[in-house]
Amino acid sequence: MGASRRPLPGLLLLPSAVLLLVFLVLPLCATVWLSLEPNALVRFEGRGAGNYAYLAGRAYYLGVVARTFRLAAESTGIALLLGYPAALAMRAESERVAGTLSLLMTLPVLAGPLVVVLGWMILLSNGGPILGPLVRWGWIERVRWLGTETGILVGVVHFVLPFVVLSLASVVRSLPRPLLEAAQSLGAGPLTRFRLVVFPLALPGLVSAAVIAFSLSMSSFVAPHYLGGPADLTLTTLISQFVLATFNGQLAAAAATVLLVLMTVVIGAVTVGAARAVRA
Amino acid sequence: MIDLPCLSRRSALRLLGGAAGLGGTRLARAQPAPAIGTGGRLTVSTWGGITSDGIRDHVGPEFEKLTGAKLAFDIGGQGARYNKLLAQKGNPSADVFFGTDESVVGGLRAGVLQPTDQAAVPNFADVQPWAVSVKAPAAGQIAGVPYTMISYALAYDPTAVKTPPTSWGDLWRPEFAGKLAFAAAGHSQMPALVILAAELAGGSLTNIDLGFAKLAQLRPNKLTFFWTDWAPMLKTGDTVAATEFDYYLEAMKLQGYPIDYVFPTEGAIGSPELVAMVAGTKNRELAQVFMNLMIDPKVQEAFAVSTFQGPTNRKTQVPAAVAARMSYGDDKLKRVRFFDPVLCLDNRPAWTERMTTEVIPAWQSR
Repeated sequence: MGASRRPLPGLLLLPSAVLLLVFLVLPLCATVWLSLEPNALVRFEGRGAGNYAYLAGRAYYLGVVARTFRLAAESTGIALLLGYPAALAMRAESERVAGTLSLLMTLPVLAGPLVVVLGWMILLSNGGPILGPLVRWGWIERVRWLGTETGILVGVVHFVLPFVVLSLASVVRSLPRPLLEAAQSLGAGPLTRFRLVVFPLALPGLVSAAVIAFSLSMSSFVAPHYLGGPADLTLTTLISQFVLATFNGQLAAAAATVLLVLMTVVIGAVTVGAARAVRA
Repeated sequence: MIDLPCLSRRSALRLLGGAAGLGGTRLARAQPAPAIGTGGRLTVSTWGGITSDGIRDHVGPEFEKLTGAKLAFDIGGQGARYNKLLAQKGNPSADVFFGTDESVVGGLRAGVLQPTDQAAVPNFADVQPWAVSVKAPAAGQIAGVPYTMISYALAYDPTAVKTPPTSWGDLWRPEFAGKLAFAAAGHSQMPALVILAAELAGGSLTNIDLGFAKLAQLRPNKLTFFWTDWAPMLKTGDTVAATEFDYYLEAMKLQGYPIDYVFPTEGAIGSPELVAMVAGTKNRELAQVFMNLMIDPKVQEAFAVSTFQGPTNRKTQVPAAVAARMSYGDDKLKRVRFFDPVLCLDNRPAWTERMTTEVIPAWQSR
């Protein structure tokens, strides 16, 4: 009976597999293929890894890769630190309150990163409503947030936070209540309950939240573009500069491939590591 | 493969006596003949806001009257639109492309734009010689139509800056440090700014290193492509000086921004803007009518009055009050300097790279 059922799931997978192949794998292959071509800046014969050598041979571009990585790691860390307590707090609320909170939290996601970032552009500017009065009244020195890594961090964290909270909240809410009650009746305080029951059971949720946050941060473009400074290029803004400023599709493709490989490696490592931790 | 339906439609029309080949002669006589086999639509790839509004208001009605066809717009920054041309090479979605003279040189070289027969654009004979900065590949052809002349100038906030700037060298004034909006590495006028900086530092085109060293000493707090990139910062006082095109600055004045500007003593950067035909367009005749209209004296006058873009047709009459506010007239043009678009195009990849990897990091680290 089992054997006769097997072809059906396979068939059901077919449309999405074809979709993935056509809309994800083929464009990626095209990108990699393009990245092997010479261009106005990097000249070599035939196809080759010249563009990668060019990027790897310049401290500036290695700095861009490091910055992209650092910003993604920082925003993931901050979003998890802010998001975990929020998810725990939502668990304590009634269905209705939790539902409303989830809806409110998805608003920035629904509005899209551009709207969120434009808001931050106004808020973070020196003459803006937050820093403006403080500087004018002489309470603080002139600081610069807009056009710095701090600015990017603020925008990215704001954008990824709802994803973190929502994916954590769904896991935390589904934890079996009797387990926690049993822990409590055995004398475990809130911290011990969290450490011994909630955290290990919700670890898969934490990992998926971290993976989502990291990949969204690493591939975010709007926040680094609008909130970052001209020298704070990340891989995404670097790609856009190669494409839009010098029409250098080949170097852009090489940078895009680097971004993709880095993301895949990190996410793969985190997932494998977490799976081992859960098993242990 | 994508071309096939179009081809079959064309041949079908030919079979029906639709005579796709007749369109050109008919339209050249400016008869209101609907374009055959095209759906009667010309897609214009241009900048949004002032430029697309101007085209819609001042060219659209006349174009429709002459051809029976409508205008459609593909709006965006020049870089994004140019990339689209490259990506859609051979089967373009746009029929005419608006860009700087440098982009037209590049587009012709890359085969995404094509020259036009001058005879099909009769108004071209009246275009000022200084506006024709792009050489046509062959006699009897034009690379595109230089429909306007704008200048990249030095702007400042008169409420914050006591002594108005006079020279490009004033960009380095200490009072502008950290309060300057400056062209991004990928800006259309960047190569000209590199040359100007080199000259200010005692260098030249043959000693361009001095230009990058000089630019590295600037202290901009915003890199811009478009006036809206820095306009909000002007209002909050975060920016008090900027490099920007004169017609955008005039538009800002109309909107009440505290802004004034000068053509520096070394010359504002003159930028003839062209409209050129996209290679592979299926609307060649409509495109020629459109290009001819863009340099029609009446259209140019309306365009100038509403957008402050300087006309290039010598028969265009502009009211004196408006003329004073654009790149127009002998006196104004004496204070404008033109840069060879071929030179800018050839140096752009390497110079953008140097701006990105040498100059801009220096700005941030100081």
